[in-house]
Amino acid sequence: MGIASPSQLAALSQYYYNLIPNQPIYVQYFEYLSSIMRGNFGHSLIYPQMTVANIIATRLPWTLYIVITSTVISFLIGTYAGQRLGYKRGGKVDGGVVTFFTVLHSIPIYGVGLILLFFISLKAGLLPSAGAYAVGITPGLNLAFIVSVIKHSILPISTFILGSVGGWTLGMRANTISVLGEDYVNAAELRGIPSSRIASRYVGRNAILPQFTSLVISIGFAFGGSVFVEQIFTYPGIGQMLVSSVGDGDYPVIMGITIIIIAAVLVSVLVADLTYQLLDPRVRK
Amino acid sequence: MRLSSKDTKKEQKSQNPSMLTVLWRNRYAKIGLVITVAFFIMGFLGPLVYPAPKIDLSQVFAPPSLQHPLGTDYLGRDVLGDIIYGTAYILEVTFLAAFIGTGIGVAVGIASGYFRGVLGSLLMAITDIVLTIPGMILILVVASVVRSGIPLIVAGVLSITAWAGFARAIRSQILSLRNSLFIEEARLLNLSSFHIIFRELMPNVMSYTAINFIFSVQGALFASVGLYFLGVLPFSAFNWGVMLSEATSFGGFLAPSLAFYLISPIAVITLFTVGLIYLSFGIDEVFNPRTRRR
Repeated sequence: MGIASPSQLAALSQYYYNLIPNQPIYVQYFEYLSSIMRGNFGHSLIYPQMTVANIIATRLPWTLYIVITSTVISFLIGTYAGQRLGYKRGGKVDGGVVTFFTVLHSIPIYGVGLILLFFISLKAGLLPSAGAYAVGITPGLNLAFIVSVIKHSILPISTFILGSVGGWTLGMRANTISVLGEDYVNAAELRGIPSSRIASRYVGRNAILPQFTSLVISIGFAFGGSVFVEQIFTYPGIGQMLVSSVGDGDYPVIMGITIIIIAAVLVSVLVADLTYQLLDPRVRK
Repeated sequence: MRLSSKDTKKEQKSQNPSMLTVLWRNRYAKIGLVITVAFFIMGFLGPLVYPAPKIDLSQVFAPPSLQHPLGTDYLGRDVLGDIIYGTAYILEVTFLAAFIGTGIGVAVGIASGYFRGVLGSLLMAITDIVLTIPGMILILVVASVVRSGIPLIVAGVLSITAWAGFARAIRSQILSLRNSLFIEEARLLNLSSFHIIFRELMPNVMSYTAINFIFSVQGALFASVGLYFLGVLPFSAFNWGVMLSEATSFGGFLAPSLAFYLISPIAVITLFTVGLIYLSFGIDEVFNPRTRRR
């Protein structure tokens, strides 16, 4: 860049890092905070013409699509399977299935992703191995684009589901077993209430509450997992962007993505706190 | 019921069995103990008996054979040797991380639960803030700045957020314990805070602490291998995460015998994790005599 005058340097650091270097540090900090509130995260060091906000805006939807879809599917499958297993506790099926889910839960998410990528995509050629949609398709509301997006997302979403469904199942199984030991369940059985009604109204409703609390924690986890999944499937989300900007030392982008992810987790905690009251009448005031 | 003296002795022995005996009696914990000990033997004694993997470009991506039970990698190195020589480093990093994370968690949890007031509130405020940060993201960013492979530093980075959830759980247990009768009695007897914390409160949260320690080892295992896989930490020879990374990058995906090279590190991580989870099934019985089977 050659030799620059101090004022040029100051302008550059304001352009990229969003900081005014001549000010005292606390002023710099509040300037930074207030510009973030206005959506100004500075510019990327690697792609100087792009703002960090732009980069995040083009990549965040892909991550949200993968993370939310897989978390919801995994939650539903795991909760259903866990309740069935809880009812069948101590049986022969139960022991085998618990071992299966323990082993599944023990494979790191990048392990699941690499195995799926290697066997299903590269060996069998069943599904695409990289990208969010096929090259040459114009993004928009046309059938070819939607089909391509779904095809490209099956493996990343499956990776997330396989990586988390074991935890949901084992958690729900444990909750169901502990609720089944409660007096009000025995009392309901003695009153002759049909067992299907007990399963849904008495056991299910109470056993699902701790699951719902973990849902929030799992969203934070899912963002962490998206770093690996998007890297493995070269998926254009913020996780992959984070890894590549960490490799490039692109600090404005690293800061921007980290702040956005923490904000997303905080929002989901808030939503969960507010909706928890709808689920559990005991915490209503 | 009258018991002969011999029976009484037997009864006493079975009521006060050693930690290993209790673990051994639990079917799952027995498997977990065997797996965990096997990994320690592999990590610290394996390199003494198994030859170090050597670069041999005539053997690149060789399929499994008697000479190379799990085949070879992109430089013709023995995959089983790569695994064995990488074990000690993984054990060091993960157990150090678990010590740091669990230690901070216990200290913060007990301090904020026992010493209420300004200190307790301050500690809990910090804990709550740390809890909202997704761990893997922060670890990734910090590791990229630190860029060191020294076990103690990597372990420290891995524990940045891991302690917070545990501190919160310990605190809630301490809060309920400190109102119980035996703590009240200890206070009336004018026992020191030191005595109350280490002799009265600690034993009651030991089982929970031990289980958290085991899960911290597992979390550190996934995260540390993941960091090497992403290439955030400096590459080093004999490292499971570096193996995974190299298996996917150096044209390995095209080699026909890649399956063993790629799956071996994943398989040992999974096996180690299963061992740790099974071990945790027996921990509660070790520290909590009431849950032991007679």
